[in-house]
Amino acid sequence: MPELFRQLRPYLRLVSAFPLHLIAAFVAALISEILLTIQPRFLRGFIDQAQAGLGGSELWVFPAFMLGAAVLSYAFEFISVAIGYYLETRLALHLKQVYLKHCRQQRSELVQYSMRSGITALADLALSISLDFLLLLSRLLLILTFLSLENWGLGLATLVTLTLSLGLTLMSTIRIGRIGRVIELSTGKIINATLKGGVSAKDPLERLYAYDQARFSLRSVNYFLFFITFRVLPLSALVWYLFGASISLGSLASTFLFFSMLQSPYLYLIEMLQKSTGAFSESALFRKDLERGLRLDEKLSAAPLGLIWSRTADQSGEPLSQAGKTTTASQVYYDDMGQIGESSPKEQVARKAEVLRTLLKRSRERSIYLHSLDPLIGRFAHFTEGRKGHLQTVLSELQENGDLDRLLRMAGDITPETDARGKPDAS
Amino acid sequence: MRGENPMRADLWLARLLGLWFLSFAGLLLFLYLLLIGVEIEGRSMFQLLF
Repeated sequence: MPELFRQLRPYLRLVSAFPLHLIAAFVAALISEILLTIQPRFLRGFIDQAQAGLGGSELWVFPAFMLGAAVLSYAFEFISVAIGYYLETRLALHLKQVYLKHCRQQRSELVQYSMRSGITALADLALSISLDFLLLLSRLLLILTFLSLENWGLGLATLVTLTLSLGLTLMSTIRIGRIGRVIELSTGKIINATLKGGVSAKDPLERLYAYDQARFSLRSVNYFLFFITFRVLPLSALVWYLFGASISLGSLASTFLFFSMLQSPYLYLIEMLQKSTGAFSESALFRKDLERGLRLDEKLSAAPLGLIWSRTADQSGEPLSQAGKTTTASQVYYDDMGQIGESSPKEQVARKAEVLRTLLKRSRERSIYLHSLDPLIGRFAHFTEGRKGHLQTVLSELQENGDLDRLLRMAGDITPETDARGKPDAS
Repeated sequence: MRGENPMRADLWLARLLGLWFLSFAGLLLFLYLLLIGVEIEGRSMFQLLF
């Protein structure tokens, strides 16, 4: 789990940029849950008062309150779901924009998968971890508290059974996921081996069948745990009543209602865990590319406008030689024009300086990121990426490393304002 | 985050905020009726329930 949080940190940070939205959604969902969980108490009051011989007109108050609570619960739930939807859409939109802008993936099926479902599932997962898991747990705890108000012994027994059941179901669900992946991989291998010819598929297929059987057994365990918790345990309330415990019929009815209310968050939590493990493992296909894009996008939007020099041989973005020609205003370039040294021909130096000057002009309207190992870039760039990934001005970086003199010597008289011969730039 | 129509997003949020306050007013009314407003045989609804 801590590993999951560590790997999802960039996305959780994006979600946590909306603390007010998250709080509003959480509070609204909590109010909705309380209003919904209180319903069996009204039913209990209704049954007990009817048995005590309360007049018909006064009994109408109970269904009226139940309706009021249900309507309010619906309104608050709508608010919470709508805020969650809004956050998820914004997050998915941002991730897709960054992915399309900075993606280096060439395989179209992978880009299609990421854009169609992968990124949305990842945004959903980030939001689930920030909001939904907490909400589901608080919902389970709320129902257990109300159940304990009816009968604290039964509440405690349910808490223990539910915790055990959730833990065991989680373990078997994770194993089911692993077996599923093994089956997928093995099926692919069998198909490849059979297509190449000469290999009998009988033994590998039998092994697959054994895996499938193991998966079936684990699913049966999950269902058995559900059966114990939600079918057998509620009957203990009846046994309690038969043994002469002083509980009213109304209390008995509300206890059963609380048990049926527990089912939905329990099943939803398990479904969410299943979906999360799937979404997380599948996101490994594109996450590296996406996170690189996120880091880059963050730098581009955080820095004041200018040319940012990344001193790496990374070949992402467009080639620098195309910067002057292309009409598409890319924000990321890599240096394909060779390193400039003291023995470089004057024409090469002049051509590169010309392209860099064009880039510099454009960077005043929109920050530009340039990957290059050439020290000449230091004469043009405004910012450079430090060792820890922070941006700093080129001057401070060069002074720090004592590189300034070497750079000035190597680049000669070339500056953004002069051409290769040291004469003022006509443009 | 960039790349969306801020006017439309703001309108959506404003409506949600309006619904939030409306629902909250409803909740206050509900609590008033539960705690004080409605009495059966001299006991409030809250006392009957808990």
